[in-house]
Amino acid sequence: MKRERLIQIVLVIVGLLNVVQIYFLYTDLWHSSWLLEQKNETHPMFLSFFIPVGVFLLIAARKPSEYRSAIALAAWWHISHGAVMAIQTVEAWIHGVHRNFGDVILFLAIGVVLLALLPGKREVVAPAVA
Amino acid sequence: MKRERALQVVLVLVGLFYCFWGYLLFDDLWHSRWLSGHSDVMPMFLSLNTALGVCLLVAVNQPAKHRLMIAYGAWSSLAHGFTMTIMSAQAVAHGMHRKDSPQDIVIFGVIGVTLLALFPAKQASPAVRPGPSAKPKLGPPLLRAAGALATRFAQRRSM
Repeated sequence: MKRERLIQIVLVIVGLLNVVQIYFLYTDLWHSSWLLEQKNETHPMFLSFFIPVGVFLLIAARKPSEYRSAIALAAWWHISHGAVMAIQTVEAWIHGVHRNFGDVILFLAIGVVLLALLPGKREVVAPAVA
Repeated sequence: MKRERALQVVLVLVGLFYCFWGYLLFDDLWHSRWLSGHSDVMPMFLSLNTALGVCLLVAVNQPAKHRLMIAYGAWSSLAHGFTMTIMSAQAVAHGMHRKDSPQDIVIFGVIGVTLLALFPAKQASPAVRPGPSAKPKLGPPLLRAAGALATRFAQRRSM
């Protein structure tokens, strides 16, 4: 019971963190700053992925055991994101460019915590045979 | 049964499509191309869809067990397509043209709508004996809306 409550809290926090990205998406799209200032068309598309994940994690927080696969997807999603950033950080260092690794730790930690708290498979109650 | 098979085929196609982005990710990280292209977001962007592709392929065996995951695949594709639509409109307003527009918008829009249209119905709990008047349990509003849309689509097809 405690574990379920714990994963609910984690899901709400991670869900809200992802939903908050809508603000950054808004600032990116506002006055076409992605086009005129940043000249980076990947950034808004990248941010658009966070918002559905956030909403779905908030939905999963209601009954985590019913949405096991969605939580596992979010966990692997964060781990793959963190792993790619870790490779990027190493490559940047090799080429003498500084890249902060705080985001690597954050995403890997979120992924590992979600996997560690992943609810167990529900046992199917077999109907009684007369 | 036909609908479930159609969903499985779509899941395989979409899953493989997104998994292919893993190759693009490898290509981007190989020889640090992202660093010379000054786009550190691109590899992260590709990694998200690669993970989604693998998960959609996992859902192929028992789509009804992975409803929220499929819904996520649908809505993330729609969100992606919607963002690209705004970007294309902004580019046109500034006298420019986005390289892959409008094909990319159509592709992601079609993926999202197809996954929602074939969305699997909620499985009845094995512990509860479903009677003729048994009503399905109410789920979260987003899933209910997706479920209603899928049911209406199935009814129209059967008419």
